[in-house]
Amino acid sequence: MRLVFAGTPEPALPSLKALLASRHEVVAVVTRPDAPAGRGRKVERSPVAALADEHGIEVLTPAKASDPDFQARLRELEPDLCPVVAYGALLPESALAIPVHGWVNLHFSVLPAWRGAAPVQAAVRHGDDITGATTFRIVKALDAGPVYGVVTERVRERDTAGDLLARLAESGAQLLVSTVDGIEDGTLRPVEQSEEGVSYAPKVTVDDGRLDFSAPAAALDRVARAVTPDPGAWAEFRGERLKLGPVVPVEEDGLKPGELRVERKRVLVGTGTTPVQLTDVQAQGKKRMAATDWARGVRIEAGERIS
Amino acid sequence: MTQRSSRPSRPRGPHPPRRRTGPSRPPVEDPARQAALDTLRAVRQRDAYANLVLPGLLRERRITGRDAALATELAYGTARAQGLLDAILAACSDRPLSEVDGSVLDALRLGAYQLLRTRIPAHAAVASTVDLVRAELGSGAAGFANAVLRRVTEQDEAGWVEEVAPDEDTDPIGYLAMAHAHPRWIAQAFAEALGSRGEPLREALAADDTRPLVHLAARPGECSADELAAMTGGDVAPYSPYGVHLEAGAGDPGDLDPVRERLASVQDEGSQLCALALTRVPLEGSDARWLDLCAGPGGKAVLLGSLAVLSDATLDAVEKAPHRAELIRKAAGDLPITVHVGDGRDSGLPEGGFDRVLVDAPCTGLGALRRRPEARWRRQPSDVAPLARLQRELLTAALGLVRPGGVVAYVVCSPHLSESVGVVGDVARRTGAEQLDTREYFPGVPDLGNGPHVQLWPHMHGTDAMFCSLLRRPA
Repeated sequence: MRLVFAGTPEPALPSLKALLASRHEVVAVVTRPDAPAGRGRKVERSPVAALADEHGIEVLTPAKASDPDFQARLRELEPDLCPVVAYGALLPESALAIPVHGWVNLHFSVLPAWRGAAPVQAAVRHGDDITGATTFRIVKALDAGPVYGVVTERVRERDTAGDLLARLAESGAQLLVSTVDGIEDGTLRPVEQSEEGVSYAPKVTVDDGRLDFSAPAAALDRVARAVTPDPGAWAEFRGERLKLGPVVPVEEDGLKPGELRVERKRVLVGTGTTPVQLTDVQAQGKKRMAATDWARGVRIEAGERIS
Repeated sequence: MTQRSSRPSRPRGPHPPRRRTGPSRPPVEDPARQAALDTLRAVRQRDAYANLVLPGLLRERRITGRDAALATELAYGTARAQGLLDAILAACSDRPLSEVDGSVLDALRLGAYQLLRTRIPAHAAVASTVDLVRAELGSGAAGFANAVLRRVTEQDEAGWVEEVAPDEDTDPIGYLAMAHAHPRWIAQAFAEALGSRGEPLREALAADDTRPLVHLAARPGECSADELAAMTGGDVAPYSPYGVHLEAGAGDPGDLDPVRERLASVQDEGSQLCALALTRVPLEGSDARWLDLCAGPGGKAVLLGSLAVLSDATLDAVEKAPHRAELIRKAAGDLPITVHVGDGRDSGLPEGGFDRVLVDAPCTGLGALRRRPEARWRRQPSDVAPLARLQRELLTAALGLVRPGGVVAYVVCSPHLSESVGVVGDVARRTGAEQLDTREYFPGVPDLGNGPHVQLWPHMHGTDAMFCSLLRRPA
């Protein structure tokens, strides 16, 4: 089939690669416009655009998908199907109607759980044991279309959202290719999602990464893993923001919430239950470093706290 | 400024330098503060609205991310606090502020705001402000700005308030007005509506002096509040079934995907609740023709129009200004809304022709000061009386347009008693309209007082200070 692939960040790449290697033809990609990113605010090509450039594939970057010029070009391309992985914007009905078989989305949860922008983060944050990836036909309501296929994936004890997303991006890519195959062969019948068990996973903000050390250790562990690597966990130390890597619960006692204890090989912080061990930290304007190196550098005094 | 550096250097002539400028500094690139300063100047010189000027400047100059957030905080914060800042600056200046050049005064306000109400270090706040003044007005003005701002740094905000505000014991309203950067007459109006000059007034003024969340309304029938929250990263609002609250960030909420795709609009939760209340009153008989009598720019009209679709009703919308009527037409899309350009007091629409009528009357806007940074310093006590007269005429017209047994919602975004309770009581008395217990139609909303009206407040409900009263035309 003739495909126009829509996607933007890194997790979309395994799917695009798998489709490029499949029996189908990717005639163009749609990606979010180049945005200033990182230090120095350099304008960077999205990962999907960069991969498309390498393969000499046309790149479309409409500011919005309702743009008439974009839709005219999409019509000229005559796609049979448009696969979407983390494109990052809504698709209006006028765009949904263009490809013969519509748009198929690879979503990183077992729908109808965790509809929305941050399903993997939500699964980690809520301590789900099992998550997965789902392909479904895009309809106007958010992530509510009928489902073509599902793969599941175990959430491991120390998984960060980044770890889990990397695995789902790979297994999901295979699911997406077989979904596209099945649509072409006419062997797949999409099944409506159940109205029960619907939950939503809103975009994750910087504020969501703030660790409240009065919470139980297990909750802090999940929150920190859910926001790693992006947007990152943090807390305040001496009035400044301190970025934190994942935190590991330890079986000990004797620290008040937020209280720091520096030992030779580890730095502990008290919580609402048992303490957690800091892994790595990044102070403002400094490089990321092991928590023990940081603690030695700032000379933590007895009873000092992080909040 | 690449243009400056690429200009060929001036031929060396025999003439001496025009003026001595002290040690030369490289021009400082400070797009955020420059944009804030330019916004303040537009507000002062052209009576512009800060929240219309600044987004345009940011777009034009391609200021995004943290710079945009800083520019927004500084421009709106400074505009909001102006009266307090001026009182402090006057105490720090050896000449009256009325004799200070307007551009210098804008910069001083901007600098003082940074010193008193942000975490920007004092040396950075002073130096960056002085640099802006030097770049535009030369080193004489910069020296003056430097001297004044250094005096501002001598105390924090609380210290200055104690020095410049009226005595708390003898004039509690004047004191709270100064401490929370409101003109005294507005604090007085709040006190009367709250029936308090103590803690409730302090809370109301404090809440009114903070940056509000962005409120979105999911369009009924198109998208749910849950979906909208998931798309935008916001939180589902506590009271409106269509509401979502969003942290106020750098961006223009009009750029959000769901807003651009018409799945949602930007609208205060209080506005949503007032429009919803009109639709919630049970009617006997027909319920097919709804009217929005003061519809521009169309926020409530679109919400009512979407609800009308779900109830098999249609909406007529009246707006006096042609350009605002056009905004409604655009926003309405394919909703069953008929837009009429005309004066609500004399609309030419059929008497008794409507089942439900909304009068969202023009008002002083004292209830929405959070969202209009400079408005509190621009509004005058003399604005109230002519608006109250217009409000009475509009509500009287609405009670003529609604059929016997039909219902009218009178809504203003002001807690001023002359515009709210005073208008409704007067018109009800003269027309014989029945005042309904409006609180019943705000289900789940706490702290609605003794009725029969509803007055919402930022400090109690997180909404603008909307007033709503429901009236039924006698059958």
